[in-house]
Amino acid sequence: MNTTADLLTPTREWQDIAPLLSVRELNKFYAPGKGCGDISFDLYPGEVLGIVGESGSGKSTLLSALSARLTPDSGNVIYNSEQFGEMDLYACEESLRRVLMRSEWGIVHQHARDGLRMNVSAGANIGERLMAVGERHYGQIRTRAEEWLTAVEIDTSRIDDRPSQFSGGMQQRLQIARNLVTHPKLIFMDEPTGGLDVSVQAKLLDLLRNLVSRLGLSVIIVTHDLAVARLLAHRLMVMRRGEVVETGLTDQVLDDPQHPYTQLLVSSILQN
Amino acid sequence: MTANQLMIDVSGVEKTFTLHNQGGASFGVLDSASLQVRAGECVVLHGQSGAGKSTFLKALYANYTVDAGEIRLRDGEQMVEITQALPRRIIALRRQALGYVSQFLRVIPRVSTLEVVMQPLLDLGVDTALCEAKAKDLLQRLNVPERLWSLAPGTFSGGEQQRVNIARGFIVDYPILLLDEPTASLDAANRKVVVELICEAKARGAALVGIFHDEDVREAVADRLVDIRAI
Amino acid sequence: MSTATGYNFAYLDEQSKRMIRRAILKGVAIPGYQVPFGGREMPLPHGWGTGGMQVTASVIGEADKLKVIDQGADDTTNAVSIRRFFAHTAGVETTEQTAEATLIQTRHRIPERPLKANQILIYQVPIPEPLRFIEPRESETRKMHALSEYGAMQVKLYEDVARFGHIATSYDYPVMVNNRYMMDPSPIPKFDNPKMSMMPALQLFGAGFEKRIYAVPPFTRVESLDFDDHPFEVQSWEEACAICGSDHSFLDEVITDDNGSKMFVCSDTDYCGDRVAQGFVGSAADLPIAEMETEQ
Repeated sequence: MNTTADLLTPTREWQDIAPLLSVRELNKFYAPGKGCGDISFDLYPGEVLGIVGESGSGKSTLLSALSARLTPDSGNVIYNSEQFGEMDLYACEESLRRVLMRSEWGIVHQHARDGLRMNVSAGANIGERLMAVGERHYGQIRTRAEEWLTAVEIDTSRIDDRPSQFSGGMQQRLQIARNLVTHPKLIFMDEPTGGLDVSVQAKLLDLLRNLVSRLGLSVIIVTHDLAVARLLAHRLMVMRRGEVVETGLTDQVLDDPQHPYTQLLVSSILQN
Repeated sequence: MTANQLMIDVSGVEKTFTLHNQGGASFGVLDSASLQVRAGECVVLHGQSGAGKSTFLKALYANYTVDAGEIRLRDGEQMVEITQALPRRIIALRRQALGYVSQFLRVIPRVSTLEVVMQPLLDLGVDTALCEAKAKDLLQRLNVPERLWSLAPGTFSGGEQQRVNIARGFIVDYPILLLDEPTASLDAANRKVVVELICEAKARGAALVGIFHDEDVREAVADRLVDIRAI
Repeated sequence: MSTATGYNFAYLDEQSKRMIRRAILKGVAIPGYQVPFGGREMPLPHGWGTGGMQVTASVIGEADKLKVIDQGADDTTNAVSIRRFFAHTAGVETTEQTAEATLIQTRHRIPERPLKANQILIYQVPIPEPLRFIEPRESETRKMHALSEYGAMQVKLYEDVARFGHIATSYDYPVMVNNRYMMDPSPIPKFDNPKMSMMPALQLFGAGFEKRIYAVPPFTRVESLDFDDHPFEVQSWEEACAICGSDHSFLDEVITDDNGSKMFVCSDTDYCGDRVAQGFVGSAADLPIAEMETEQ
């Protein structure tokens, strides 16, 4: 058994690891000031990056451009893929991007109905990604679907119900299960707790926090809720009018904000 | 950690707060602060309220940024300059080498007291049973009633939350430990437990920097008293 | 039979036929791929086989012998109308005998008698897109075909097994053509699916409402989707045909009186009649309904 002292020997691993995602001078504008510009950052394996800012700050546009769903005007997004090696997302074949989306990536939408198939059962929603990557054994698909329902705290007796019969919180958890079933490396989340009751939000956040740390997921999460950002994100990018105004460790940005806009954002939260 | 090894090396740190949304008011807190702490040593910061003790401690934890100067913290063979380090380097440092104990517990919804305390040790990959045993031992020593261990601490009294937080702060044998008034408003019996914990940490070679308002605690643990305005 | 005056041969003008033939050639070149075409108006409402009729009109020649079946039968209203239509506008011979026909237009069945290399089977297709049920956007289904993203198709079968314990889809059962394109075989029973594979005859599919043509060239592999633990199976019956005694053809259930009495008979009337002519008899050979069938 490891003693705590053994484990305190600092590891050097972090130094040699290549970024999972490298973003360089990414620009996407619909109109002047509408979109996002000059975005550069690296995301490392296991890192959770929060993108915060108010509505219209360009964070959702950025998320779409990062997750291969919106071709940028200029700039590169380089992803270090398990299957394909280093790939420039917008210079490679669309078919490869689509393979990523159903295997190494997950996308959790704000509105569960954008990420779920509402007309098929919960089990089929989870199983679809397995079938998409070639699983052809019904019994195994079913077992995996049950495991993931349990992991997101949905009673397995609901496996044959359609998501339309689920509450908002359950739909959101189902969407997460659907994404995680293929063991993705990188998850994009767009306001995953938006539109949920506060009590339901807490449950979802706790679940996400556990899954992210247990599975060692890398996550890029867009949220306007700084409490969500504090709970989930290792570091933050603060956006305003399409530009990044401040980045840093989550607690550093929230406790010692430097930019006037970040100070305004932080001071606007109700303290308890 | 060898005895007398340099663990914390701060030089020329400056920190000014600028409140952009309050007319750009700006006030300097730290001016050319320097401090060295060695293994097995406990340095206690003192000075008036508002003098910058807590700001200095938070800068050591990289919770606050600094405007100038260097802060080097030991991580094994390496001294990490945290004012320049990448976030993930600081997270790695905090996970294994740098602890911070305040009097306030940041409550995570739905997570039980035992899990809150175990988490930092679990994150290092330590066997769950070992983590649990250590967490229970700490909670017992800090007189947190056993019937509370399975409950989320969100509804606990301030004092109970504070002791849960101290247990969480001491579960990992961090080589560097920062203590931000952990004993404030604790009763004498529990203050004594915290003093014991600090002395045990010193004995295993940890470097500690703390802020304590209680005279008795300060005297019991401090190897050096440092006036924040003088460093 | 006389040809109607005032119409081009087989009703469609030559330009339209050429356009449709080009689509057919493209379909043959890319087995299972849905080729869009400029569907023409036919003197019948959509849903009555206008897609199949346009294909038939484009490939039919004066020497052809046409058979039309609906639900396996030659004598249903739709089959009779379409047969008469071509007899009238093209002056071609028609037949009810599978073996004699060079062109067979069908909706719900593939004839029981194996087809030969000199025959063409033309299907009338209502909904050509197999992915439609799971993905309503045409732009997205085209992309899914282009990139062979067919995992979602399996969802349909999953839902069946989840609900019924087995793959309950019995008509319109999705197939993979030539290991490349997912195809909807029109509403034939899955009983007929195995006949599509490696068939010596050319199979053409026309969807009039959605304006799509696709094809399975002769001797092309056509595989029905399934799960490893729920393999593809065709329907089978405890009963044999009450008229001809066949125990290997697709049977229809027929209610014979107001008391719920029923019997099973071949859905392929030509095949059944042939067997009776050869001397095969079923359990109900002496019933009046059987006599009626055999009289033809």
